[in-house]
Amino acid sequence: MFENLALGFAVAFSLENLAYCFAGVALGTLIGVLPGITPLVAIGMLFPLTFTLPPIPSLIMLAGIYYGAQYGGSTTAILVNLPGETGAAVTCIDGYQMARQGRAGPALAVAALSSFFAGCVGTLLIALLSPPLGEWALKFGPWEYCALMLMGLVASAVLAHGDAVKGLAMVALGLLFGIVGTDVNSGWQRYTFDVPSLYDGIGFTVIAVGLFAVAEIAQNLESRELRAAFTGRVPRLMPSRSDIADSAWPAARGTAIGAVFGVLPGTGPALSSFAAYMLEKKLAASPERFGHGAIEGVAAPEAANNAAAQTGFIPTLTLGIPGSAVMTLMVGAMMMHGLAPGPNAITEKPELFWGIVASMWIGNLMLVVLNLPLVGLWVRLLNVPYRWLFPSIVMFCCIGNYSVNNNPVDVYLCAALGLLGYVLLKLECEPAPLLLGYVLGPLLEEHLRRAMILGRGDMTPFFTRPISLAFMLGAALVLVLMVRSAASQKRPSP
Amino acid sequence: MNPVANKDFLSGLVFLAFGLAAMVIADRDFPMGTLAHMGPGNFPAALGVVLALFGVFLAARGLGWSKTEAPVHWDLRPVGCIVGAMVAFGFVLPRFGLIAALVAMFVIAAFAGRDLRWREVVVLTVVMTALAVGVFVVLLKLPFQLVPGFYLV
Repeated sequence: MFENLALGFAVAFSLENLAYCFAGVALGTLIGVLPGITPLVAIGMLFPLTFTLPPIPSLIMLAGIYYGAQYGGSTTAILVNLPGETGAAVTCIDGYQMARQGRAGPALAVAALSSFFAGCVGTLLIALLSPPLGEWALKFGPWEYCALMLMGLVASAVLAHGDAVKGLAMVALGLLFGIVGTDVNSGWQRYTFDVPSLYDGIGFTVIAVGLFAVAEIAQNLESRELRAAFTGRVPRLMPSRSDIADSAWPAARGTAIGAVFGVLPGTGPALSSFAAYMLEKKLAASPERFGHGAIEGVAAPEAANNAAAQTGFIPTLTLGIPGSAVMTLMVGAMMMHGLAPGPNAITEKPELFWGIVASMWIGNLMLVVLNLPLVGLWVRLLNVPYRWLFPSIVMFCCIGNYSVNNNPVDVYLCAALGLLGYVLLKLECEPAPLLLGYVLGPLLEEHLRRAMILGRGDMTPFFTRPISLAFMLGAALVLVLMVRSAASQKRPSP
Repeated sequence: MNPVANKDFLSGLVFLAFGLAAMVIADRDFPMGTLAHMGPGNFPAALGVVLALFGVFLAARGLGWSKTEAPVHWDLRPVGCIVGAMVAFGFVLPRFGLIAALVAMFVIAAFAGRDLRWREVVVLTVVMTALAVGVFVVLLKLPFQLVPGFYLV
């Protein structure tokens, strides 16, 4: 497995690829740190930039953008108490308190260092676990794939923010959006309404940018006060020796928690950072410090977050099944380059697979090297007023969508989806499960049809094949948990 | 305020509408096939049914909401301006070029914000248009016409 990693590093360590990785990290942080821009929006906005590149540099740059945007999100969480994504919400609790006590520097440094540590462990785990998992996955028939996707979709809907029934409905809507276009089996045009742009399906950027960027801007513009800008300076950057000692074990434990949660599809970083925070609070000698600037409360969830993000690549790369909304974006990008992630990707395109793994580690390293010295610059960016930001984001969205096919219809579609996404956001329907459904829709249908052909219309193999049955039971378990927790906290009727 | 215009009821209607449309179109236009050989209409029709059922469930749950619950607050100006800016961009670019498209986009988008400062809008438009031309046309060599009939690449 080490020769595999070596191959990956040989690919990633070309000067050109390093430059793209660096550019990705810098841009990702730059955009991700801007207030009101979540990592998802940052990635969705920036990835048209990578289209014109060949596959390997493009994906390497994307990995860099991914890490940069994630870290940018943590920076805003710590400095302005504005969580970019659910995973960073936990970092806010103690990170912001540290910043208010003038310890923003150590908080940012510990966040970066524990993320880096978690990233290193995560990369090793990918290298260790992917080949056996990929080999195991080669035994999967269409039944196993269907059941696994079903479990992932149910988990993403139930574990998303907010109402689980709405989450499930969003998954179904996403699956429908996913099958728009020419049916690969029959050549039939489905839901294309004679619009040529739709013959290849709804474009991935169209949906991601519309649902996440456009809808979110519209919603942000409505809220009265977006944030209290951070005006202070970051006096001392490096954490003291006791800071490091205090955060070493929490970071290690957070990494372990994140690594486990990350592999499960649908759970992702959000849950793991929350679990890691809770564990540290339980283990702490003086739990009352938590919520008042405990450094463990920054180290553990940040490590967990990043470890989960990293190990999330394991199901994504080996099974082709993304576990979170951000992963969905990565898979979408890979598919745009004609690379179907899946068990065959490791053996068929080893230089690509290991190149991505290695570049993720490099992206992580770059993050530490780039961001620690530049904290002052990022802090200044936090004060950019939103009324300058949002038109600029809209500009990137427009150009990005237009440039994919050089066709204004994509921009119109994106605007329409933005409108839909806005309405759904107002109705408290989270867009993340929809995106997962959209990416998995064609895969799910294809495997389902294959399963039905092989079984001659018989459904029972889904429940008689052991692995498939296990996934089905997993999905059922998640559903049961949802119903039970819904029953225990009924809506109070006044 | 309509007592049933709550988040559950309205989202239920949205999902029901999409589900019914998917079902009707699949049933009308696509061959269904059999279970052993699923046609192109089978999976979408099934999804439509599932989606419509979720819609009915949510709408029914919405009917049970109390009338004192705060209604959804709609503010159509921001979203309308953003969508309008994007449509304007798509409409203007093929006809009058990138620069005109960006000017139209920035001016319309400016109305989405709460405090409109014209001087800032002008500066932002100029700076971002220059940046866009620099990054997308010069650096990334996207084949945009800048003004009608003029291409840099």
